[in-house]
Amino acid sequence: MIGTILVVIGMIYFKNSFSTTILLQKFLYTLRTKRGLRQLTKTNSLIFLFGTIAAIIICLAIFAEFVSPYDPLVQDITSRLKAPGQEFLFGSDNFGRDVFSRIIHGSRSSLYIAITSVIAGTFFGTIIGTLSAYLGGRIDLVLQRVIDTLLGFPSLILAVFLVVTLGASANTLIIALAVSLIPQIARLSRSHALSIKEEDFVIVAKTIGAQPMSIIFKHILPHTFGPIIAYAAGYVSVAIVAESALSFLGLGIPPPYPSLGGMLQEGRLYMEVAPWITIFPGIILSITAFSFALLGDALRDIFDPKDRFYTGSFFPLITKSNRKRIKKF
Amino acid sequence: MIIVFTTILITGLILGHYNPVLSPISDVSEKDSIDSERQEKDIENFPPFPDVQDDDIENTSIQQKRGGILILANRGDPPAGFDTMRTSSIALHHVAGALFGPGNLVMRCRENMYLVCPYLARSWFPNPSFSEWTFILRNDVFWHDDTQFTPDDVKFWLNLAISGLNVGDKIRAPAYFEGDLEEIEKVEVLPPDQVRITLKNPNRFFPDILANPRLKIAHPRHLMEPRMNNGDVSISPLDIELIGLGPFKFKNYEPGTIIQVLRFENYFEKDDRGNQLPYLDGIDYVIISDPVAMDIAFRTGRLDGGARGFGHYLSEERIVGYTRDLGDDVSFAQIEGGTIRLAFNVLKSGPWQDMRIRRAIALWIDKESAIPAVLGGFGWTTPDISPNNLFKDKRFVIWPKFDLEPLDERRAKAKKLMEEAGYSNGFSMGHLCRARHTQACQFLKDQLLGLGIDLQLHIIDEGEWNRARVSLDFDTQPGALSVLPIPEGTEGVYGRFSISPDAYSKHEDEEVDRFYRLLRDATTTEGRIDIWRQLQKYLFLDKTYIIPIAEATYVVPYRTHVKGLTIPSEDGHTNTDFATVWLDK
Amino acid sequence: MRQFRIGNYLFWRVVSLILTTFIASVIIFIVMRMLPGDIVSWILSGGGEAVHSTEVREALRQELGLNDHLVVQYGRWLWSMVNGEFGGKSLVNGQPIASIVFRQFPVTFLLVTYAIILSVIVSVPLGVLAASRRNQWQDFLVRLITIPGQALPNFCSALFILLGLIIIFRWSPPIVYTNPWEDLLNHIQIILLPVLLLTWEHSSHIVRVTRAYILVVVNENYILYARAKGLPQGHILLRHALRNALVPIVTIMGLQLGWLLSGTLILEAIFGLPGLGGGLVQAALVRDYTVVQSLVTLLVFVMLSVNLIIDLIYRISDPRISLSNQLTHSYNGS
Repeated sequence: MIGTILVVIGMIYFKNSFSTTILLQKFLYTLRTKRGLRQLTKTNSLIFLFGTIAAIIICLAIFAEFVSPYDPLVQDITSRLKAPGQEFLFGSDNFGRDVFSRIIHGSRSSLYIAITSVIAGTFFGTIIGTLSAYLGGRIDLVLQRVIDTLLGFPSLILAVFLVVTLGASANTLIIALAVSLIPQIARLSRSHALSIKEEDFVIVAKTIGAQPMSIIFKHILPHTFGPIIAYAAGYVSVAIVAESALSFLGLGIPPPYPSLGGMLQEGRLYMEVAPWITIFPGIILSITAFSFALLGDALRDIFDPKDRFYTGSFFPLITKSNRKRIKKF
Repeated sequence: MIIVFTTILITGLILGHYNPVLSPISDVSEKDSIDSERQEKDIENFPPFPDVQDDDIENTSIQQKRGGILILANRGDPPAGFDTMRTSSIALHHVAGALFGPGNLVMRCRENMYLVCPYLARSWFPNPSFSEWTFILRNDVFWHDDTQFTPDDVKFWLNLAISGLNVGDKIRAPAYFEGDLEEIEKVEVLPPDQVRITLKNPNRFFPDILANPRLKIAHPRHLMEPRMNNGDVSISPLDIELIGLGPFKFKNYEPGTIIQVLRFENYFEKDDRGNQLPYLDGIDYVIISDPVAMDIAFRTGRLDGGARGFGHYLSEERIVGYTRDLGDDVSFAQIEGGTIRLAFNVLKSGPWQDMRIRRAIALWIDKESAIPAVLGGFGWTTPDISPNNLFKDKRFVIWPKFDLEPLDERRAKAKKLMEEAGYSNGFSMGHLCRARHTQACQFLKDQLLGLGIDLQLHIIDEGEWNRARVSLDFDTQPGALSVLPIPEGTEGVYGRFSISPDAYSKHEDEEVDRFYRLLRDATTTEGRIDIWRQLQKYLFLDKTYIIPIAEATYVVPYRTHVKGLTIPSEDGHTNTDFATVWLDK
Repeated sequence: MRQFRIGNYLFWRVVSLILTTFIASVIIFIVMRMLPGDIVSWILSGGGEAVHSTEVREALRQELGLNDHLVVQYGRWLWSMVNGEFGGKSLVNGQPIASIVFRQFPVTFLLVTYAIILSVIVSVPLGVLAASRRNQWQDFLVRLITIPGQALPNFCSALFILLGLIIIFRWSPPIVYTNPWEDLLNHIQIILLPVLLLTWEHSSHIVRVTRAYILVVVNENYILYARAKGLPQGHILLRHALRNALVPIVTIMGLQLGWLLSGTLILEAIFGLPGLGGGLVQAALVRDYTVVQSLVTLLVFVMLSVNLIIDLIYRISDPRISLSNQLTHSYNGS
């Protein structure tokens, strides 16, 4: 989702740039041609299914106040542990709070944290990576050492470490998840920027005396944009899972504010008499993570077709070049 | 001496018809009597006891079976190298009873935990002014390496606890309970078998203080002293392989996995018929930090008993799974536990400095609903000190008697008080909230919302909690310490801030001092009860420094084949020695 | 000439590894000391119900050496990491960290190793199958298994599996972990579920990469040549395509190691395995500075070393790759 938003912004911003034009063309090709569309609906019906689900979840999250039938925090002891039914769609929890409302608000905070951390991580990662590549020399060397170091931290372990240090809150979670994304994005954008730096048009721009900033923004960034967006889009679902894992360990958003992982943890104690407190958040979490993983795949196919075969997307969109390959096989 | 005996005698008489037994819930007649009393006290929504089948208190005449390994869950790894001077964590004390014994010189009686029984000391007597206490030790007590236990061990242990140790530039900190024992001026050994403890001030309840089950002797002088003198001052019991005095000796410890203990053949205690205790061959404490994992393991028959500790104690909802899977093969022991409460820091400026506001909050909170929501369905709406306790059960008001009106009326009154105080639109108030127990905070936050009070929860982990709760930085807090089961033992939690920094409510009310002075000077139990009643009314009603909301009843599952358990009527740290336990399978 | 380059490269990689670990240790040390709250308070009242005066606290701080200058503390810690004490003793329970590592490391090591071996055994054939039956039912079946494996949170699956087992079969895994050489049956029972869950997750990635790489490789000229020669399809797939796809598969497994270790963090906690991951979470929650910083440093070191080894294998086995290829986490030679 965030990828899509960024794409639109990116397309407006870089409307003259070469690679976005191609991307746009590819995307439109898929949508325009009858065969493309048919293929799309046929092979990628799952993507459409999960894309729709993801869209619904996002809408529910955005309009949580209007959609949720109850306040997720207000307790009502008289209606505790009510089974799903007319009154409570997904039942009620130990404090008599509506599980459905809590799930909506919980997935809102999950999405908010995941998406914000991915944006932040992508933003800083790109800046660090591009600058590192462009400036080179000692700065590059130092930045690369730090990035190497951060890459050595398994991401959830880094996140646990940071959350424990900074205290559990939404902002800490965002920082923790962003920090584990930054080195990956930085490395990616650096390697892309390095290769583009040597391209003729950048050298020409340099020789005619263009400002470094304008070289970075006009010439280097537009070309590294695609793969980075692709990677970032794939990371959203990873961030959702990581956020819920941290909440599950008790390192997430502090109660009483709902989070999917936290609800899973709390609900376990009522598994025998009120399984719905655990099962519904579990299902919603799985579906959300799943949908975003597939969306990430699809976005990667659009934005980084070259990389597709290295990371191995399962649902490649049928594009012109892609069809050729398939035929060949 | 005489007064002590009369005190004990009176206590005994008062408790006479009550006769607390090994497990108060496991005796049917017992249960009935509690039930009838409960009705007298107009407690309407009292949760039902779970179904328990009769335990064999009367059937102890059946041939008891020796041998077998008891498998219990333990909440976590004992912290601080099993050092009873460093921590009162239940993760240690659930195990420490078996290793180090149920008490020290004295213990809380197995039959009635409100009385003091001899343990390592055969007997004791004070001087007429109660400032010198002399303990006569048993001569058949041995450490697990078969070294004789001597008065020098007692002296070493007490000195280590009270003043720590300095060797060169190395310092060993005193025990955490040093405050409880700070009245001790000196400890003398009177050979061959006596220890005389001199107090700074007379205290006729000194054995009561010493009988706290958290004060366990885990520090053999003959093993520790030489190493300490060599500079290894921070040596812990784990470093000397947990040589203790308890009924079981240490066999094996795999951190994060299991603690195993074996029967100590040279243990001194015997049962009524002269049989050597303990009956069991050993105990395996399996470390399970996740309550749900404990449930699963117990229900599939991998455990004989549950862990003690908040979070591991069962709730009504979890019991459903136990009874469904195990039916009659499981019984549930109940221990009166800690109170959930709201305590104000009146030394910090804010609307809560106004008595009317505190009173309004007390009237507003729907205390009954805390029992299902926070306490898992097991609990009472009473102030501190358990309902089974002498000072509450027979003589003292149960909480609902303070504010007996229906909730609607109370709440209307609360609204009016808020208006009078000029806060009809409410205000914002901070609250310390332990990340471990967020349920109570969530409950309070929601309750106060109705009164227009926005309770800001500061959710903190245990490290921060230990700092914050003795500081004046926060508006309100739930309070931490559990108290001794006697009124005199409560000054640490109700006293003035400058005297008791860890008190629930931070206040500097000298009136409270006066009550405690009166309590200490009282000579009869009647008098103590009377003063205690006045003090509680003063604290909870007149001044409302503290709002006791509900008291938990801790529920621990045991398999039915586990016989002879001594379940304390309150305080889960008590009677964790399992010396009288046997397996009937 | 090539020998020299590899040797030179190896030297610089090892230097870089040491440097990186050093930076990591500094970061970890500094971040840990920024923690709010006080370890001394924690030690003094494990259960959170003790009274203690400031003098007591001060004395204990002195006893633990927490009053020294940070640089002194860091130096002491670093030296003990190097000489094998792994940072001295746990602040909370006084155990030597070396013994904690010695005890916990094999558990996590076995867990991860089983998962990797099982993943390779399962996923490479599945990947080849999916590639060779592309867009047929076999391929879809493989996708159906692997996509949830990648996307579902493993703690979620673990919870439901455990509950399913107890409700349907009245069975639960054993509670006491034993090493395989002590009690093999018990070991298998307790470690089976976490291994399967990790394998599911891990192999899903490998299947995906295997499949994708084989699809790339089959378009290479030498495969077309082999096909033109009339070699059977299976022969081509196994002898030529798979062999060439192995390098990226090994690489992706190296990259996935971080995720595997992250996965152990939660699964060890849920299944009660006394490994590094669960130990780390426990230590972090009780602010056991020394244990957390030593364990995290150790894990980072392991990660970096494994990546170095994989990188070397990668280079030695595939001379086509230049020394600054972007696909690996390599030292980018500048």
